[in-house]
Amino acid sequence: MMGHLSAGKFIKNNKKQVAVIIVALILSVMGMYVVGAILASTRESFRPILIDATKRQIYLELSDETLWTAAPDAGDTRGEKYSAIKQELEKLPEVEMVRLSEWTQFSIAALVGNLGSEMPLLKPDDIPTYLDHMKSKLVDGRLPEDDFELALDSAVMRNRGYKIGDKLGNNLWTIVGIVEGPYMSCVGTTAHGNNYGYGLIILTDETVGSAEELFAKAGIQLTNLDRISSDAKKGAELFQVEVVDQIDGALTGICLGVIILVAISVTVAYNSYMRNRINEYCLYASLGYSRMEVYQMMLKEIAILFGTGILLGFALSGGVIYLIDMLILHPKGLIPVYIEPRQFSWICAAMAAVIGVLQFPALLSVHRIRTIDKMED
Amino acid sequence: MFEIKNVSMIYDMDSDEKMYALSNVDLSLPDHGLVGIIGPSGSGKSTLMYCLSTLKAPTEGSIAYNGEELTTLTPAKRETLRRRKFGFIFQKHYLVPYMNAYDNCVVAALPGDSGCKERAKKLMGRLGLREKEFGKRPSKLSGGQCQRVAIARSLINSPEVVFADEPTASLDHENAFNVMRVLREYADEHLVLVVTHDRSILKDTDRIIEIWDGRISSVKDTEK
Repeated sequence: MMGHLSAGKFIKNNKKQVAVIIVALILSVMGMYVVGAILASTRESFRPILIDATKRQIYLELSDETLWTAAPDAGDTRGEKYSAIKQELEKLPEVEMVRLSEWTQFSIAALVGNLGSEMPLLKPDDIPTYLDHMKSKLVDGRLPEDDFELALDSAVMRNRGYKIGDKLGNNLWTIVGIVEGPYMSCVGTTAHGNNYGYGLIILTDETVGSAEELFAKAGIQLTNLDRISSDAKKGAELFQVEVVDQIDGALTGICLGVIILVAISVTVAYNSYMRNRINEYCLYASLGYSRMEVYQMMLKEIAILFGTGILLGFALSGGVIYLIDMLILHPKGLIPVYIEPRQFSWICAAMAAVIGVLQFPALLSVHRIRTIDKMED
Repeated sequence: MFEIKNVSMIYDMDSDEKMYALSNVDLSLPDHGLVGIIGPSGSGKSTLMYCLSTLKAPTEGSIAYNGEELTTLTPAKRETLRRRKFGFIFQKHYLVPYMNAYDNCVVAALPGDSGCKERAKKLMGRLGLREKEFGKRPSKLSGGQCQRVAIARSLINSPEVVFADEPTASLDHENAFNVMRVLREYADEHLVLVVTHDRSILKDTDRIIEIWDGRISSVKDTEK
């Protein structure tokens, strides 16, 4: 039966000692959560490009083998073969537009890592259709009309620090407009061979799982010789391997390092406080409090310390992420992540593990409790 | 109240030269009164007190409190007895350094005792502590003031028995007299056992027990 042993009294009356532990906990929670949020921001900034946009467009260079197999009667040139296949694909209900055209790449830089993605180089007449398909709208400047002109997404513009009129790629390209949409889509006009790829650019609805799947519906079997630059399957794989897995690996390493440091430092500090309080525990035992009651008081103290540290840590992390968002993420066109449930669970589990580690010095102190007669002996 | 029969306390049981802190002690104590236990240093007086209070278990013999055998009590029952029936004043005050005088007094109170706060203030007042000292930590109080807080703590649950080990050791003459007056008043309805080697503080006791080399050499009831 608990009497007047209060965990609050130690905490209220030992502000400096308590502050050391709480600040250590706050910093560790902040360290883990803010790093997690920055990495999650990278992930979420890449998601529209790698996952969402790739569900609506396919970039593909077909091999001679496929061209000649799929369109045996369509003339003798690659262009003629491509045209025949294009017509077959346009018959499919999932397909909105197919163009034989060039594409190049644009890139965005997250706080951790860079990502390049395909940008179609279309005839000016096709650009409104493309932007409409990608739910993008012109917000400034104009759409590309002449060769070597680009309209970039506002997030990409902010990310790279571009403005309308800037020249890119050895003064080859000129930015003439800013578009804005959910997939960070960019578009340009023909590059006359200065490209990353040339082939079919296929705009589809979001039901198409992959280029292979779409071509199979048209009765065309793709092979390993065909070069798929971008489709939903490739985007998902790239996102998983190059973004999610990399981030998870880095995050696990960082969090483990932080938590080991926290476990050691908090245990050392807490153990030192315990040693200083052994006379207090012996007094309680002499007055008739059981060891269990003393242990329960210790547990309540630990719970208050960790509860306060974790809550403040999360609250302050929100503030830090807001600052990072205002100062870095938004100006760079990146997507902030304030609530990251996985990281939240990870931190709570890690803190529970540290509390578990603290049971060793706590139980050791309980074991050392003697009554005052033995101390006076 | 206490029936002590043939109690011995032996240290170094396993060695060839056993040390008898208490040897075949027989004693009877009433349910109220101020009882002084006096003897030179190392005579066994503190050991006797600790055996009676269940802090120590004697090697041999029987100690009955209100008919209940203490030597065979489970640790939980010993804790409950100390908590509810006994009060303790140790040689050192053993105050919790981060608590103020008032909290140090209340820390021994029983669960759900809402009156303990007022009682703590009254007790500290009767022991000569001023109200402004209630909020001070032990480091800001003199040794005597700390000891008086410890005495107030021992009385917070109105225990049936108070065990006081050298309660006036760190007090000046005036405060020692004041403390003994409080203990004397308390002993009118309860049992107060005072262990000391200072005979001068025992002038108002009802009984003086002298111990020498672990044996009771004399038991004298004081005539009033």
